[in-house]
Amino acid sequence: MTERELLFQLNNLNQKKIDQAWLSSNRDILVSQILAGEQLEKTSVNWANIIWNMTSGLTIDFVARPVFAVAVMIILVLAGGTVVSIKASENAKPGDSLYIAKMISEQTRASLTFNEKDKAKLNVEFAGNRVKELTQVLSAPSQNKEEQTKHVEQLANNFKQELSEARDRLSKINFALTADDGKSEKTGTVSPSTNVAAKSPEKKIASQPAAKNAKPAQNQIFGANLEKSNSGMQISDPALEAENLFNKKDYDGAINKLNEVHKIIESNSEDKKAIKADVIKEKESATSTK
Amino acid sequence: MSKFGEKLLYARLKNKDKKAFIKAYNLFAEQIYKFIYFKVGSEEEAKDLTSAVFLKSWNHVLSNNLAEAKTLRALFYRIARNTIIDHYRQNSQYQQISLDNDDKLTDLLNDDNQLMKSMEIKSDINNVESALLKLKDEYREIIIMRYIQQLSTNEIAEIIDKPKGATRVALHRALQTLKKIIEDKK
Repeated sequence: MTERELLFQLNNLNQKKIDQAWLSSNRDILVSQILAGEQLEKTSVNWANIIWNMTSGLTIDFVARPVFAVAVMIILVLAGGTVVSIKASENAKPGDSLYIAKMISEQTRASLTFNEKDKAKLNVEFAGNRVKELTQVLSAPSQNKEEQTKHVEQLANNFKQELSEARDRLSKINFALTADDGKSEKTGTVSPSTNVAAKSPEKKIASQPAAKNAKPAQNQIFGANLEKSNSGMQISDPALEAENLFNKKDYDGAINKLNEVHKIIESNSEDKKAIKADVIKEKESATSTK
Repeated sequence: MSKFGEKLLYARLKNKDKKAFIKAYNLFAEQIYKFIYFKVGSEEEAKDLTSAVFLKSWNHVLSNNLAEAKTLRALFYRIARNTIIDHYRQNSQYQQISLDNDDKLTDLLNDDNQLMKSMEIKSDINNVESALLKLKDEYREIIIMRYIQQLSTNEIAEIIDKPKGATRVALHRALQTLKKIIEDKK
């Protein structure tokens, strides 16, 4: 093929026809979102009137259509960020029109989270979402097997990526994902004090009494940093277990394990907040006695 | 729309003028859709991503985050590029989809074409489209912008944020690479 022929072919590609109905309905959605945003901001009604006049044909009926709910949902996600839980998109799976809204919602929440631990919790939650979507895709009557396989593969890859990110974040901050066992007290106190001690000597001294007062963890020492476990006991990492269950196609088991991981991070956060508060008090009292 | 008209529209948009935004949508939606379609190779994804691009654009308008793009076209194309990158990251792999579906290709054909000629064109376009998807991302997008959508080198340089000279060189290399892919396929 000569260059001239190639350029001719490329130029011809621009003749591709676009679905005008979709273009038009997408514009309607955009208009309603702008209007919905305006209502949220409680500004003058005049603008709304102008746009309604401009896009003649929009009637009250439009408001009642599901597409309006989608539009409001999307603008709420963009305006509200982390907090808004939207039922309509929660159950969306790849291939659904609401799935993009679900993805935008997840991305918005991730971008509005700054703490590594909270980001890890989000990773775990999103991993759980991927598993749920996978079960939905597999159970949905799908005529296109090729597309189903493609979605399953994408979801599996995404699941592993989310879980891997979660574990990387947690190991970066020396956070321990642990197994439940009876010998928690000694090892449980090492973990929080190790994290606190890493910061400064005063905190290390201050943290020892605080660490002693820490709740005996159901959270104990863990899989990734084996050198921190002195007990020599068999250690399991629930995140790894979740992945193994996923690979064995035990999706319900994987979801339960992910919930467990989420709870571990959650409960450890509570402990560490208490310990941190104690450390700060100790430091203040040490400073005041000088 | 003239360049002056586009500048005026952009100025209105910066003032959060909603009419201006709708007008901008009317002006650029089809272009952005085609850009995304030829980049990702799927109509459904292109539709979803196009919607996302305009949503994000409105969000940028509201948050006064337009400083970097000098023109309206550059704004939409940049947001489109970033949206596609985010989409790839989300899926964690590029989607190389072969456009073998004849239904899509018949859209390109004019009813006046004779059957043999239309089949030849179909086959050639099929080669070019699938070869396009084999190009690396950077080359693919500039080929789409320059040779499919007929944007000028200046406009492309503004969109990809590179000097004009570097853009021209990249265009030349991209075209040669595409040609080689097609020839190797044959």
